[in-house]
Amino acid sequence: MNSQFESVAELPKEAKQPFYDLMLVLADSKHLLGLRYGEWLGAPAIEASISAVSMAQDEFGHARLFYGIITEFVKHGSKAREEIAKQYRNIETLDREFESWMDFIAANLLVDLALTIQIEAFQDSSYLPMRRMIGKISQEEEFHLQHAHGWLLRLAQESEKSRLGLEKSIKKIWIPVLHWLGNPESRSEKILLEMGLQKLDSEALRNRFVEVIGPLAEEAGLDLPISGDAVTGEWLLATELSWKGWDEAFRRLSKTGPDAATFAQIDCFHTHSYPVGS
Amino acid sequence: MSVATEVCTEDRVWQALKDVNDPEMPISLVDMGMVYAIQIKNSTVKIQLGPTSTACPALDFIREDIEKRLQQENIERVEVEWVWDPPWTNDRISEEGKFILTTWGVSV
Repeated sequence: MNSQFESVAELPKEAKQPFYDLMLVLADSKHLLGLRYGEWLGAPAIEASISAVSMAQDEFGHARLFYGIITEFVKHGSKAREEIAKQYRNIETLDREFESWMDFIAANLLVDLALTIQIEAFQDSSYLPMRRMIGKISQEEEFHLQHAHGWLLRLAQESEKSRLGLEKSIKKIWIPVLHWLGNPESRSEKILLEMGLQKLDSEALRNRFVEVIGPLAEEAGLDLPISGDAVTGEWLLATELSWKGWDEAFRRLSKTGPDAATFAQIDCFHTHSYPVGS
Repeated sequence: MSVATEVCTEDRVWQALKDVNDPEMPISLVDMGMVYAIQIKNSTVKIQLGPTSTACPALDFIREDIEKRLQQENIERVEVEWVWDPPWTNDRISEEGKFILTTWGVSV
């Protein structure tokens, strides 16, 4: 299919729900990542505090763009206001506050990267407003990856205890992040690919993820479930993913959502009563 | 000085926007390279602006400042569209803008 779409009103009927679900999961995940970054004003260095706040601001900026697309669904009559999901759809790994700076860096690397890889799969998307947005988002995300990389090395090289702690923080969120990148058997994914809305399937997204993480983990001396092929130089995932119970609208196994402390902070966001139509 | 009968031209709008400063920088939106295009159609002025960041907190201020300045030119119908392609970068700042920023101690 070679059609291109300038607004959500032009999207084929069968593509609307999958596209809406994807925009919402991105908006909510970006929003909550911004909130989590912003909770770390007490980072272990002044420069790191400034970076945390700056990255939080970027994430809110990106969330604003994706909530803007959700608003389009209402404006164009593709969704009634009351049909907008009442449940927050953040990536599972952000349900709770980071317990340590190592958790922060693990999310800075894995979660932020996964979101960026998903967004970059909209390069050449048939949804033209998305194509126009991603250049700016990618530009801002470059710094986030640099930040994660710098701290990954610093923590890994500080001491064995520090390196093991970092590994533990990464492994804690490893599977949910890989799940979030999508299930190749998902009907929604097939529709998004058929309509050209998304250009890479979820296996390609995971491969891309491993290609970025592999060299960084090797440089930092981290033991993660990935392996580099000595001959081809390719990085391969050594994790079996089970999709039982995975929800394609939420992109996670558990639909419990953020904890009570987080809900108290996000208030009107968890029912999407603020962003849509505001 | 604005004249009520003066014809609304793109040049005139560009000139007027040179008086509207970025709320966070001591130079105009034009020198910041944020003004991507100006179109006049059916007496409506459409302005495409590229924000410096996705999280720019001043979008509403900028829109209001533009509307106020163009009202002085008797231009009442203004539509501001935020555009992201091509992404705004420092390279879009004019030479004059860069000079002014350096005099304020901002490196570009």
